[in-house]
Amino acid sequence: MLESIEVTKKFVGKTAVDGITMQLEPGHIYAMLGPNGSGKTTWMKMAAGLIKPTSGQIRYMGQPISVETKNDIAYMSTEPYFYDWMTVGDVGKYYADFFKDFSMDKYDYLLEKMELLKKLKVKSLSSGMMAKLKVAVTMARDAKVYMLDEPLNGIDLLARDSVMNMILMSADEGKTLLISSHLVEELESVVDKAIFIKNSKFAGIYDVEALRTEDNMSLADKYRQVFSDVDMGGIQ
Amino acid sequence: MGNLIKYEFRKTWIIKAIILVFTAIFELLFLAGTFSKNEDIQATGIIFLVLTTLCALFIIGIYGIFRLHKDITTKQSYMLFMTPHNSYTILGAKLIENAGSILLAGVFYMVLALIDITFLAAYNGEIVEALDLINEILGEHYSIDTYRFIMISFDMITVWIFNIVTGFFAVTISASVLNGKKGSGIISFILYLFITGFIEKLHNFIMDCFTSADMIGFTTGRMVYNLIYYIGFTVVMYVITAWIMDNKLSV
Amino acid sequence: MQYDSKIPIYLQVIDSIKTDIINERIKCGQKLPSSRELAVTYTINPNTAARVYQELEREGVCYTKRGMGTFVTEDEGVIAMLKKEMAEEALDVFLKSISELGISIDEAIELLKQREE
Repeated sequence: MLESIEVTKKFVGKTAVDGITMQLEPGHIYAMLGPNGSGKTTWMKMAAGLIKPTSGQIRYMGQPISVETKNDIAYMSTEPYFYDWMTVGDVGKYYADFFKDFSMDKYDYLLEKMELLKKLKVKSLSSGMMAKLKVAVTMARDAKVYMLDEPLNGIDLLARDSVMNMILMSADEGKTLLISSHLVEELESVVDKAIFIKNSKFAGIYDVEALRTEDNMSLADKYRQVFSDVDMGGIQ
Repeated sequence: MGNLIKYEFRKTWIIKAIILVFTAIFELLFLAGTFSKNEDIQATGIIFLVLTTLCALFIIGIYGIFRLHKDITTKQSYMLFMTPHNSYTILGAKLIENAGSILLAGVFYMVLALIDITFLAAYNGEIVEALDLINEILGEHYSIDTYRFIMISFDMITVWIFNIVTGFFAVTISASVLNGKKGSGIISFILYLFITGFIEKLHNFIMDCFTSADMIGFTTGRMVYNLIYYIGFTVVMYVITAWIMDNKLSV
Repeated sequence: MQYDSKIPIYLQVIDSIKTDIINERIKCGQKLPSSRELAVTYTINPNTAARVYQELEREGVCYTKRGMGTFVTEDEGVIAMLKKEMAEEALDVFLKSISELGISIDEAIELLKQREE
């Protein structure tokens, strides 16, 4: 479905992604976990077709990432990226102008749920409202793959709940969702697979319920195991 | 493509509206001066209309380069590059919108100038005599009539559009190949000066090879050659810039 | 809902639904939300939500009407059983804690009676 084959991205003086090979299937919500700067954003941008790998290839349905795959793969960046002059309504119109799979009805519905008014200027939005807007406009697309880069960054608990709900409303058997975060606990109940990225390299993919049933371990426990050498638990 | 052009216009219309307002003010000044036979006001109007015309073409072009810079170096770049369009279309939309605006503005000011001169001539017969006198002094090769005025204007507009697309090239180079390097702004600006300078030198060199000394001043053939030459290099610079965007730019 | 991240989520949601059925917050024969709606309500993965219904059906707590959705069983017996089972589970947890503290069952009963007063 979405395959990454030996993908490497080098920037001047630094390897951001180092030989990542993995495969994402529809019908799952994946967490992409790793500390800041581990290469999650760079990998997503390559899958979104915003930057090109130095070597290796990302394929969607067997085709290399290109302008065409942007029709099926929706990407949401962490930072706000809308034009300063836009209102919440303009953002929707912009997506409607460029994405055939964008549904204005769904956008309106999500805005209502998030209590976002269309006449609001994007420049005046608080970081929580901006986070909601970005997720709403991205999820109002009927894409095959959604990649959300740190959708919970810098927003309060209540906004996190509504953002997670928006994401869940759009999930189904035909869609692949990939959510990056360093807030592991927030994703614990929502994702069913977790990909670990450590020092620009692929460091394993786990079934989250299987971790709990078979290893008696939470996702956060696994995260600590992969990324730190500190043992958690009682006095031994 | 249409939508891309629409949003390029949306990003730049305010600056164009401001220019139009200034034009209207100075045109009114000119008309008021002419009607009231107040030569000071009339002259002020004329001077500022000429200045506005030059500034308008300059500002529209420079603002286009500035917008491109912002569209490839800030997070707003996602707005363009997340859409299912390649760099050729994205840059093409920018070029069409910008060159189109310059051309439209050029034609607008040309027509306005012709109307104002006609109007002036009708109000004041001495002006026509003065213009005839100037043309006589300039001689056959350099004298100006409406046809020559239009051709020369188009020639200047084309050269300017070539300069803009070279500016596009320079900001793209600084944001891609030179990204993160020290002095990328200066280097790309020098590159801009070098390319525009070189193309001009080449233009003059070719001209010298094919024209003899007695064919100086204005000829239609020379104007057509100028237009084709600069439109050709505008297309070349556009293709190179879009290719760099496609292959070397990381947004 | 707050989850214990070490215990499989589907088991926690199943317990929550069973408790609701026993308390009659969810009535016998009542239609349950679709697994998609369940996922949103409980903020869980849709696959987990589907598994919740699979398990509940397997235990006879729910059944699926083709094209209509999932319904709670109308069999009062099943629900009575459910109540007993969950009471047993609660007791298991209680007894385990008590024995870890070295308290006998008799002492525990005494403590419970004191609490009652």
